[in-house]
Amino acid sequence: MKLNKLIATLGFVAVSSLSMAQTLTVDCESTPSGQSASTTNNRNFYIANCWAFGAASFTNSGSQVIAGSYSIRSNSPTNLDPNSCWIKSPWLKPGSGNISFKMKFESNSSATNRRIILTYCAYDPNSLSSSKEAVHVRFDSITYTTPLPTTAQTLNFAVPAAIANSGQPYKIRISLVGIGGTTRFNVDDLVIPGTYWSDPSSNCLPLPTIQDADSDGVADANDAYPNDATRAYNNMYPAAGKGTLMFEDLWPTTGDYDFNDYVASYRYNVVTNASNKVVEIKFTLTTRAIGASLKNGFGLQFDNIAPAKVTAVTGTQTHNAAWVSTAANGTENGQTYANVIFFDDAFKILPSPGGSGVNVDPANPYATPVDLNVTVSFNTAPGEAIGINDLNLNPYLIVNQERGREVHLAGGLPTSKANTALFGTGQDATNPGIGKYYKTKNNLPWAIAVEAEIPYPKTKIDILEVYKNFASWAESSGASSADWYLDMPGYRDTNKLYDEP
Amino acid sequence: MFLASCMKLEAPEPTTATQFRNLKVNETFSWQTSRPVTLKISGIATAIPIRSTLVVSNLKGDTLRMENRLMEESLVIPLQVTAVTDSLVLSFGSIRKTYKVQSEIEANYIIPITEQEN
Repeated sequence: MKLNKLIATLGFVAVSSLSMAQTLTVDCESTPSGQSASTTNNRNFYIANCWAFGAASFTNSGSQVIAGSYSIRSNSPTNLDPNSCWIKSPWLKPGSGNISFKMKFESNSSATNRRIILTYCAYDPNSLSSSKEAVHVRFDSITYTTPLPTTAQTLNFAVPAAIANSGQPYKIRISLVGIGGTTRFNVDDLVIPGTYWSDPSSNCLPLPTIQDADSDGVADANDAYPNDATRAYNNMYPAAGKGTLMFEDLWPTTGDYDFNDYVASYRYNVVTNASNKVVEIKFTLTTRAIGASLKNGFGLQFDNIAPAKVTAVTGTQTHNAAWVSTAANGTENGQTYANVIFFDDAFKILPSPGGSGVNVDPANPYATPVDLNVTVSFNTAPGEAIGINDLNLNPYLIVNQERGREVHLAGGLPTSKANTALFGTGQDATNPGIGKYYKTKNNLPWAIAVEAEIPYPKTKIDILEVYKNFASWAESSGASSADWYLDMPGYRDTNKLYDEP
Repeated sequence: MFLASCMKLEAPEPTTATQFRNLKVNETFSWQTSRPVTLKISGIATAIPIRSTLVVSNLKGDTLRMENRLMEESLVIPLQVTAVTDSLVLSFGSIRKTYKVQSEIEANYIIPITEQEN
């Protein structure tokens, strides 16, 4: 065995943690959470943390493993080019001391020579390569000839003075090369002194200086409110465009199923902060049609959210209806869950310009739909704040000024003010005992929500007559014709839809 | 994000009614044009805390969710997606992965490496 330079000691270095302070470590044993340990998964773990392996794999073959269950295995070297087979660190700010690792060969023969070459490279922001690596500088090497050592050695190489404690980001590359034969390297327990300085979420480039004007922890580039530390993200629903709410209002009896007794488009924005807590929800409810003579109100229940979680409500339009009782925070009094009454009479939001109803009979004048912008603000104090996943929004009509007569979407929980004596009357088959709400015995609803802005039937025209695939969708439980509401050839009878200018 | 109900009963025989009142509908049907999807993200341990904005979007680029998260966090994110959404895109900084929509999506930040051993 001939060594150009060797500081070798037999034994083991106690390193096991990738995040060990002031060192970077590869012990080959870490596995991505949720995945089983394997040569591929373990290698991917280190790659996800910005390590790179060129023509070097992980092995768990007993004779090849140096420590633990996994080690690195080189290819069979064919040349002395340091670019041919290597282990490369993430960007790090090198400290001082030794780069160390354990190494052995799989055979003591079958080689002309084998060489380990250490290089470093600086960060070059102007480099055309995606990695932004400057030219590698060779700073150490060791050459082996047969007989090659087949028991593990710990090799130590001093961090070059030129980069040690420089405060600048560098990468360290360890090349495993050679000529002649097929004998491969095994490597394990690599430790590099320094501070980890790569960003796995940014192409593994050096950690950036993040612009964050409001210091809320969300980069300005991602922050919808870069100068407001109390807000960070907009979460729109639907994600694009508007949705549609369509009601029948004769509950608990059934009606003509034109689903235009109240029609509104909606979209809302759940504004969250850097802690992913809900700051406020901004609703836009656009009243488009009232195919009824009843004076209906509109409410929204935040299921399972206590009224006290709400700090303020703005933008509602109530007109002193006797049944509206609002607390100081804008929610309705007497409710277990937070409820907001958006309006108490749809006809005061979208007055009739003449004739019966509004925007359901083409013979009558058209009324331009009216937006109602309601903002509900929430407590964001620690322990009080709610997350976006806590939200379950439950819209409903309040029929003809009768507070207890609520019409919800199928399955919608009634509010504390719902008149439960109406359950099971008329055609309603609500049965709280089995969690069935606002459906007929045949499971038909009184209201439908669609995640798209769609036209609605003219007055007295059954919705099945205008949406040709609706029945297929409903009777297949959504398995067929899931796109029934789209504007596709043959999907609609436009002559039976109300034509909104 | 509007609510849904869930109950079990036997499926009715399909008839494709021509009037709404004659529809034969399974009691489990939610009457929603959206469907629930649970996005389960396995975080990955990092040498230092890596924080970025997790963005879930559809293939058209419409954003469904934005959250400020550590890369090491494992998350369960319930979503409602339209019935016609067939893929979701998960972005975390420069990491971008696309998943087919199913009721439960197992996701992570691992980028598959296709490099071959010599």
